[in-house]
Amino acid sequence: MIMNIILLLCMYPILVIMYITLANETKPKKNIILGATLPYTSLRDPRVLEICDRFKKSLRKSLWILGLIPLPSIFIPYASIAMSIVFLWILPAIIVPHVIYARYRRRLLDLKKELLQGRETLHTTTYVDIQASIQQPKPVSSFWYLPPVIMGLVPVASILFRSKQDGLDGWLLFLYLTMAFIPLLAFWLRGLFQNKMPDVAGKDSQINAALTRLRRRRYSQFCLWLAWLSGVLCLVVWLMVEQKLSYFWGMVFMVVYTIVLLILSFYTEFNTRRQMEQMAPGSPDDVVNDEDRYWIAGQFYYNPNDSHLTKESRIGVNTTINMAHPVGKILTIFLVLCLLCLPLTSAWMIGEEFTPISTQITNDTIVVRQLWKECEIPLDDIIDSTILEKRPSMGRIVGSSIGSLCKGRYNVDGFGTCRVYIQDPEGPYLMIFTDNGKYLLEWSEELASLLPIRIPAGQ
Amino acid sequence: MLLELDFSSQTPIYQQIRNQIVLAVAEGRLKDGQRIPSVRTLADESGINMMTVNKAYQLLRQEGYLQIDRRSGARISIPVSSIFLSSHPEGAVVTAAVNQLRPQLELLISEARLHGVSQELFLSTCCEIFHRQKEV
Repeated sequence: MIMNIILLLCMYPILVIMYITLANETKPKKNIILGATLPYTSLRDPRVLEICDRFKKSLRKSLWILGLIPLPSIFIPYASIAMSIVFLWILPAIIVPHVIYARYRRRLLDLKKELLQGRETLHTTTYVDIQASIQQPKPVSSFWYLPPVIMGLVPVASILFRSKQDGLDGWLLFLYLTMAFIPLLAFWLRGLFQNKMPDVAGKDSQINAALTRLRRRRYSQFCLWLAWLSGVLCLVVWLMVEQKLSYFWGMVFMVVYTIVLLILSFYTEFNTRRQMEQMAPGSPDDVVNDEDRYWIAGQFYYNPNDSHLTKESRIGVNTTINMAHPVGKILTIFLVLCLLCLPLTSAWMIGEEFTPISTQITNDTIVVRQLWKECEIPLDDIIDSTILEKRPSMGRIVGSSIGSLCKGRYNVDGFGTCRVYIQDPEGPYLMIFTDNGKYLLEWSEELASLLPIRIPAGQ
Repeated sequence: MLLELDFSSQTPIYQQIRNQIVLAVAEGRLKDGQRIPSVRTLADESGINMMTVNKAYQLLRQEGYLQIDRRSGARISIPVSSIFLSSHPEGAVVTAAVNQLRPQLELLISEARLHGVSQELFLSTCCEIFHRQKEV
């Protein structure tokens, strides 16, 4: 129950983040309110303010209701079912507030049409400042990205080098490759931010150039921080897996990594936005790009006339993708598939918790199965084995840990790194020593009759 | 200098870029020798297709408004006829320029007449534009 409460408490900030980011859209960003570009003179119109107020009330109400939905999961004794409820709740927790946003944006667009006497846009012109891009600072040298990229590749090289002796651990290689990808991603993002469309805040090219310079410098610094922090994270995880660093300190670093990146991203965006507001306060004479027609429901950017892959998101601090760009289309499909993974993950977790682990002996080989074949241990490779009456204390390196199920690579107290396949919370268990490593399995009479079992002293 | 591009307009984007740069040169917003972004930079940053920007720049280069150099990028160049204008108003270069502009001028006058613009209003508008650009 305590774990369920902790899980729920970890997920509730989603609602707070949703409220802060969406309610923030009721404040004018240049001429944009709730994703609708309005005439400057209408920003304080009582009808606009009323729509904004109603939106915030509706948002608060829906978030309270959404907050109550996953509460029953606290009382469910099965970890996989409780986690599935919370994971599946994430989808409506994100989608419902955005649907409300889209509904009130529609109302504002209707009002805008009324204000513009039937026209849907302020104008169809897109402004591009050609002078703003000329005097841009030299971007941070690519050289500074090399050390974090190398740091990310060290664990990959190490596991590939060791695979000649111990065999290749596919999951671990996948984990290291995924992490090594982040510094490279930061390098790629730096290029994207560098080529973003110059900011157009007014007719003064000097101010536009200064704003563009400011934004690019800030985002360039953020990308460098992201690359270095991710490079260090790769090393920390590697040291943790290799047991050169304790699990506790590894987790502490991961929490620090997440918090620092969150603070940096919020600081980068909000500080840049504040400075831009100071440098170019809004005025009726400002040039405004009315791009409402390119935003589907105010959230999805689709502009075939824009060859950029990314665009500053209208909601929150993010950058969104241009769905009209060929790469944008592929990324959109990928993101939809990722969202569909949430229900699949839930089904997989329930399957793992409720399918018993079976150990069979076929052709002089111990075969461990659960949902599918987990591992094979040839009897000839077994050097020794021992019975453990109680579950030893252990820390997961890579694998599953749902309820009483422990499966994967674990650091077992007194035995070091072992492959663990156990589900019964009571025991006894069988520790098998082979040439290729140690295995912790559930005890069975059939297995015990075939193995040279050593009973440890005191048991 | 702001480019105002209308993607829903009948005028092609390369023509819009070309027209606005010519206007900016005439109004003094872009000076002789002033650097403007290269084709790649403008395409990358504005999100306009590189071929479109290249077409506009090639047109401007052919008409003598732009010099494109691989090392120094693109620079504004005032056509020789404009420099001659002050010292040799009736010079051969100017006459050639007028002859070149004549078909466009005829089309413009025709459109103005069809919209009911009188000769006086048309000429006074021309004078006002001339006067404004001269001041710059």
